Amino acid sequence: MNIILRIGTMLLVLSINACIITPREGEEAPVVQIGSKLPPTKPQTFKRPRLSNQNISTSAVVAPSRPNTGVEISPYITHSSADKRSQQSHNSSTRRANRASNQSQAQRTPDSPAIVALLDSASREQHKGRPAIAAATLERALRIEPHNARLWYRLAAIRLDQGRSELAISLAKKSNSLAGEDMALRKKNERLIYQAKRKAGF
Amino acid sequence: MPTTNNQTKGRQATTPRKLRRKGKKWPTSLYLSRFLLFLILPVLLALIAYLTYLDKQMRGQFEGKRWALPAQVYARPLELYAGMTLDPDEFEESLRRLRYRLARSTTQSGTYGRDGNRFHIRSRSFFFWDGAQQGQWIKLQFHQGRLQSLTSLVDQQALGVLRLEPEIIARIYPLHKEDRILVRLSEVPSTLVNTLLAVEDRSFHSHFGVDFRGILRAILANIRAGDLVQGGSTLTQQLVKNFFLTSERTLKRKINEAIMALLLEARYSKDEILEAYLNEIYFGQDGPRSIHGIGLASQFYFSRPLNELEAQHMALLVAIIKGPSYYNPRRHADRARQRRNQILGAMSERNLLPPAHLATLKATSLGLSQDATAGISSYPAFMDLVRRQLRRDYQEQDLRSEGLRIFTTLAPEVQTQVESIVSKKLQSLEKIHKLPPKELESALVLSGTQNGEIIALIGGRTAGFPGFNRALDAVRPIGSLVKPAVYLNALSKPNRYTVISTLDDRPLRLKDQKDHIWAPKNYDRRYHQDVPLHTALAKSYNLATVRLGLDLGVEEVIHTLTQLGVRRTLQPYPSLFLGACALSPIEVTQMYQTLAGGGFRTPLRAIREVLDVDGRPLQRYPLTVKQTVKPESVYLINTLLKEVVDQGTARSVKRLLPTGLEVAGKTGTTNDTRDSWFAGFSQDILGVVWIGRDDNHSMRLTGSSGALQVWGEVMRKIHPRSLQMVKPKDVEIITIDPSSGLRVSAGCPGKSYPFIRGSAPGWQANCRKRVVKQTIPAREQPKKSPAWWQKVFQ
Repeated sequence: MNIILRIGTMLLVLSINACIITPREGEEAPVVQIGSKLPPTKPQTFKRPRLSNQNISTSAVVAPSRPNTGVEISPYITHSSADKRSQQSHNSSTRRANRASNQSQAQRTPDSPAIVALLDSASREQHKGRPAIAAATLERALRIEPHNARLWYRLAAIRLDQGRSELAISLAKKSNSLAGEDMALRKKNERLIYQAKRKAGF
Repeated sequence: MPTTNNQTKGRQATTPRKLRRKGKKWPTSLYLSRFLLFLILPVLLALIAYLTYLDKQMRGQFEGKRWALPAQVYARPLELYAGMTLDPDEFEESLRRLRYRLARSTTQSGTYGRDGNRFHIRSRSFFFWDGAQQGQWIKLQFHQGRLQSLTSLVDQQALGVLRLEPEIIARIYPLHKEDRILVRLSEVPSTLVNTLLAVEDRSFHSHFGVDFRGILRAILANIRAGDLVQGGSTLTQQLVKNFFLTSERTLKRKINEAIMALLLEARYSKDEILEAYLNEIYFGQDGPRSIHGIGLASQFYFSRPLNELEAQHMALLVAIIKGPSYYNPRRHADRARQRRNQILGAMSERNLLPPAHLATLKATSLGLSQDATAGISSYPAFMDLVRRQLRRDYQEQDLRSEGLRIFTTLAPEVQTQVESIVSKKLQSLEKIHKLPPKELESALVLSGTQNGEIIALIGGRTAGFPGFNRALDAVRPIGSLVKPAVYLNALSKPNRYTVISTLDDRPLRLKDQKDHIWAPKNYDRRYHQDVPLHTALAKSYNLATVRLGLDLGVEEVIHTLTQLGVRRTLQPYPSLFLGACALSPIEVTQMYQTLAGGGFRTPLRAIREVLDVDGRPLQRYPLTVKQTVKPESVYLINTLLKEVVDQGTARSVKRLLPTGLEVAGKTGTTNDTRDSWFAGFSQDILGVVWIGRDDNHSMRLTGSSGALQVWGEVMRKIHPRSLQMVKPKDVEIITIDPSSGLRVSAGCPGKSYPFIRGSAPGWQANCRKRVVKQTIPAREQPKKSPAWWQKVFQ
C-alpha cells in the first residue's frame, strides 16, 4: 500500500509540474504541413546533434563556413615589379579597360591591377598545390578580360598540370586564336600543345 | 531422545510453531509483500521501459533531427576593380539589394555612405569556396560611368579587385516549408543569448531540465497578476515541445515532455541544448514558409545578419518568441513594441545594455525591414534553367533538404534592367505598329561571348511570373538566323568560296519528290541577279542563299549547325537553308556563342559550382572550350555579321547604340512574320531575342522591326564593350577593286575584305579602272544554275 502511494505521489508531482507549464498567450505551434511521420533521417555517424559537430554557415551573409582550403585573395598588389606597372597602368587603366586585349602589337600591354592581383593569387595557389583554386582564380580574371590571350594560356598550363590534356590543348588553341602577333606567346602555346599531346599519348 | 523425534515427526503436517506464534497478521503481510512485489516489479520495469522508449525518441529527434535545410541559390558576385564600367546609381541599387544600409558613419559592416560619385563602404566578408573575401572598409570613386578607383580606407592603398558577397536569388524549400539559417552558438551575440535566458529561462544553467523554482515563481506571478503572465517552461522543455509535430496540450503530452527534458539535460550539454533551441524556435510565418531559428528571424525581420543587430532588435526577437502571432511586429506593432520595451528594461537591469541608453532605445522604431520577402524566387525563368541543369546531377530531395549552396551566373543588376526594357519595348512596339495590346510575347538570353555564362534570361514579357519559359521551351522556326551556318560552311571551303564570290539571286523553283513546287522569294520580292557573297548575307537574300546551300548540300549545312552546337535533329530539306528548322532561344544562343567565341564552342552554363552545407565544393562547372569550327572561317563570317549591322538588315540598330560601339549579328524573320528574331554580340555579351505570339499568328514584325529593337535597347543599357575581333594568323586583309573583283595594292581605291590565305583573287596590274592585265585565279568557279540539283529531290 505504501509503495503504491509512493508511486502515486511521484506521478502526481510530475503531473502538477506538467500542469504548471501554462500555455502562453496566443501561443501556437508552427504550421507544419506534413503528416504524422517525421522527415526521414539518415543514419548518423556522430552521436552529437549534427549542428555542433559540423561547420555551419554563419548567419552573417549566409556564407559557407570557413573552408580549410580557402585562402584570402589579397586585394593588394604584392608583386614588386607590378607596383611600378600598376602606378603607371592605374592611370591608363580607364582607357585600357575598354580596349579588348587585341594583342596585335608585338609588345605586351601591362595588365590592369585587377588582373595582376588575380594572376599573383593564381600563382600562389599553384605553388601551394591547389590547382583547382588557381584555375578558378584565372576564370575570374577571364571574366574581366575575356580576350586576354595570356590568361587563356595560363589556364591551359594549369589544366595540363592537372592532367587534363585535351582541355589544355583546347585552351592553348583558344589562346593562340587571340594572340595576334604575339609570337612569344604563340610559341608557348605550341609548346604546351605539344607537351599535352605527348602526355595524352598522341 | 526418541520421543522428541516422534513428536517432531508427528507435527510435520501442521503449521510450524514459529509462525503460529507471530499471530494472524503475518500470513497477510506475506501475501501482501508478495503481491506488492508482483505489482511493483512490473510497474518499475514498465517505467524503465517507458523511459528508455522516451529516451530513444528524444535522442532520435535531437541527433537524428537533421534539419532539412533549403538549398540557397546565389547570383554571381559583383567583382569591383578600377577601370570597370559601372554606373554609380546602378551600383547603389546593387548595394541595396545586398541589404547594405545607408549610414552616416560606416563603422558597422553592411553599411555605406555616398557623396555624389564617392562611396564609402564597409563590406561584409564572404567565404567563397576558392578563397575568403574579408570585409573591407573601402572608398570607391566613380567618374563618367566608370569605377575610377578602389582604395582601402584603412591604409589608403589601392585594391586590385574586391568581390562583394553574392545575392541570394532563391531558396529551394523542403516540402514541409520550414526555413532556417543554421547558426552556431558562437555566432549569436552574447547579449542576445543573455537576454533570451533572462526572459525565458533565468536559471537555465543551473536547472536540470525542469525548473521547480521557476515553476513556483510562475505560479506566484500568475496568482499575483490574477492571470497567466508567466510560464514555467524551461528552454529545454520548449525545445522538446518543438520536437513534436502536433501541439496537443494533454497531460500525457506534458508529462512526456517533462521527462524528455530531463533526459535531454542528462545526455547533452547546456550549450548543445541552447544551440539547438536557437535554431529551432519558431518566429512566425511568411506565407507558406515558416521561419525557424534566430538566424533566419534576424534576416526576415530586419534584413540583417546576427552580428549587425542592435539592442532593440535583439529585444524584439526575444519578445516575439512568446507568441509569434500575437506579437507579430508587422501586424500588432504596439503590442510588440510594448513587450520589446519591457524586455529592454529587463536588459538594462541586468546591465546587458547601458542603463543610460534605455530611454532612447525604448523610443526607437521597431526597425523592421521593408524588403519583399525572399521566400519566392524573383527570377523564375532563370531558376527554371538552374533547376534543369541541377536535375541532371541531383535528386529533387537533395535539393530541398541538404542545405546545398548553388552559385549561379546570373547578373541580377542586368536581369532587372532587361526585364523592364523588354516589357516597355513590347508595349511600345504594339503601339507603334498598331497591334492588339498584350498579345506579343518575348524571350531573351544574354550570355558571355567567351565563357558561355548566362547572365540574364527572360521567359516572357511579364517578369517574375513563373509561366511558360519561352527562352527554354518556345521552339520556333529560326528563319534567316540559320543563314550564317550556310555561309560559314561555304567560307570554310576557301578554294570554292570567298567573301566576294558571286552568287546568283535569280528566281528559283524547286520540285520535290511529290512534285510540289517550292519557289522561294526574297523579302523585298525582288531579284538581285549577281551579288557578292557578303552582300547576300548582309541583306539576307533568300534565293542566293538557297542556291548556295544547294551547291554545298543540306547535310553539309546540318554538319555545320552541329559543329556550332545545335543538338536537335534537323530535317534535311532545302527549306533548311531559309530556316524552316525550329529551335528554342537558348539553342540559338548556343549556336551563336560558337561564332562569338571565334569557333570555340563553350557549353552555356547557368551554374558555376555547387557546395555542400559546409561550404565544400560538391560539383564544379569549370570553363571549357572546344574548337569546333576553324577560327579563320569564323572570322570571315563575323566580319560579314558586322556588315549586317553596318549596312545590312540590322542597320537600324545603330540609332540605338552609342556611337563607336561595334557589334555583329543576324536578323531573322519567318513566314508571315510569325517570328521575329535577332542574335547579335558585342565584344563580351551575346544576346538572342525572340518576339512572337503564343498563338503563332502573324504579327507584322520582322527581325529588324521587332527583336532587333529590343536587342538594341538592351545593349544600350548594359554598356557592352565594342567588338574588336582578333585576326587569325591565316587571314589576310586584301584590297579589292570592286569593278574587276581583283586584288589591288593597298594604296589603290577599293574595298578591303578578309581572305583566308591563298584564296584571295589574283593581282590586277595597276590601279586604273580599265583593266590592262587580268589574271584568272586558278581556283574553281562556283557552279552556276546547274541542273544537277534537281537530282536532290529524286
